[in-house]
Amino acid sequence: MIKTIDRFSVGALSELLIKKEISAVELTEYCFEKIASRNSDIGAFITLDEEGALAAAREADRKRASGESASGLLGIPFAVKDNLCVLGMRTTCGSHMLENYVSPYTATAVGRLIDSGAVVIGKTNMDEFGMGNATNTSALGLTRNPHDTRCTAGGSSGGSAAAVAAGLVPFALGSDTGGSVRQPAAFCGAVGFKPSYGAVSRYGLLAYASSLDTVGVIGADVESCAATYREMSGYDALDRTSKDYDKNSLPIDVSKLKIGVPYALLDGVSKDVKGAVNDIIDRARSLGASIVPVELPSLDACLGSYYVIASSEASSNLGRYDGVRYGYRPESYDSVEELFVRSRTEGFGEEVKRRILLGTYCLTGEARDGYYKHALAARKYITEKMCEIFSSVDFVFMPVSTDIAPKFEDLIKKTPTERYLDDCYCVISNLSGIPSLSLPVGRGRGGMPVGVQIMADKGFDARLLALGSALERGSET
Amino acid sequence: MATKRIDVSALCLLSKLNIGDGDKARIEEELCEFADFAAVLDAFAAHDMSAEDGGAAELRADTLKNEASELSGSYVTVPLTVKEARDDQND
Repeated sequence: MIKTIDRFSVGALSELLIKKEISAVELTEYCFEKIASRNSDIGAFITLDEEGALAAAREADRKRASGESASGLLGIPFAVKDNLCVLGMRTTCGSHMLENYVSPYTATAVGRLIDSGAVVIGKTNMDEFGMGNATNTSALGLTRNPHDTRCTAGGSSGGSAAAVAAGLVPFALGSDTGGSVRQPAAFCGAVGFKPSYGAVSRYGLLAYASSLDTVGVIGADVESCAATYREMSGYDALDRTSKDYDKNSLPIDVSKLKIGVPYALLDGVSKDVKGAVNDIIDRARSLGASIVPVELPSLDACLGSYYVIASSEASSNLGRYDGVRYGYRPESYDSVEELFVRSRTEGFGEEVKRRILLGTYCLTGEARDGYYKHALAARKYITEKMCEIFSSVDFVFMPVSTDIAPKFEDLIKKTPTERYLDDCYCVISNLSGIPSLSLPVGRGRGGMPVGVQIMADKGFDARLLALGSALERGSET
Repeated sequence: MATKRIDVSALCLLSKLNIGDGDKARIEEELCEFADFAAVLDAFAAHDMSAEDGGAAELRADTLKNEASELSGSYVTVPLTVKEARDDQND
């Protein structure tokens, strides 16, 4: 049995598999051993499928031996956020509502990875229906930061980020509606990639806010994310909003790049985050990039628009959970109305109910013109503004969050609106549909990781990953 | 948009949720706090018409034929106003 694997990235593991220094079955067993030793502390996984994973690993070993496949993901284990369907596995969305729901089909993104030979280990914890940024609203338990279990892992894909950061899997799928891949990746010291809206099919992703939801990936390094993105992206007839974008990362000449930095926004972040942004600016400069100031749209407008639109779409999307077709249903009820109300009241958690009520309010006759329509108008303005910015610069550097991962005891002191404000640097990418990469850049107070976000124009996902990779290599030298 | 009180009981009726009386006041306060914050969107009222013309739909897809317009109908499933919900309850 293998004692330790030093580099737990897709590239490093693939090399070990190709050189036959390890088999896919041994690698899968190694993951389950590590999960057994760490998961009770951090709560990253909520469903494990050891039997299915070992069967898939045996098949991967067979394909490699027979030369049937040469995919870079052949035999590589990975985890799936629990709002993406995998045939025969529970898909709970972190909710009591779907606690016992077993999916009858597999999401396109997951299916493409399985087809390439990657091995599903299990499902990871998340904020209920993706609503939260600390993985503390899940009905299935709390996820803790592997670097300090008193701190949050971020959210809503906190389980996926914690699993990667703890070295339990080399990559994990997440979903990003307003920063849910990038922020937990930054808090846990992993790489988080949110592709352009439409680059990855949403088929099989349980909907939160359909016009913002994006399937993303959290990886041990940029290449782990890039390898995953190459396999799972592309048009899917089952999601009519999906589209083919260029997915091949060509080498990028950083010295020819112009990178924008919204310096005014750095006044609102902690010393650790400001230091990380300055560090990545220095790194890009040392590779020859020119850095120029840019002015982004008002973050307050972005946040207001995001929460109005996301909550409005959520109130509609979550209308399907009524106890009739699937999900939680009370044992007894006297009328259909009581079935609806009790199923939803007992099945949903507090944060989900709050956002359903907020969304319902934004769509009512008396508020629709004042909030929902204005939010759409703001979104249009924000998108136009981002297009304008990317006509003059290639990329933009941004903070991911105002500070490092907070302690749970500090988080619970905040009001819901104060917690929403923590998403201010991330939602702009979702509103405008552009790709963003969260890159770990050093450590802050208490040794906690700090991340910086890089944004690119819509469809430039491969170029963004190429820049991320160049900056990552720059940090190693 | 001017901030006003939010009738949580009516919203519960519309969204088929039952919130205890003790929680209603707290949730109303939380929703009002957010509504105050979101009033920043008033500044974008001048863009209303262009957004209505499909600005938001365009954001959902880059497909040549904009399929998102077909989806957009499903986002708004609350045709009732709060007043109508309240009237329904009284009926």
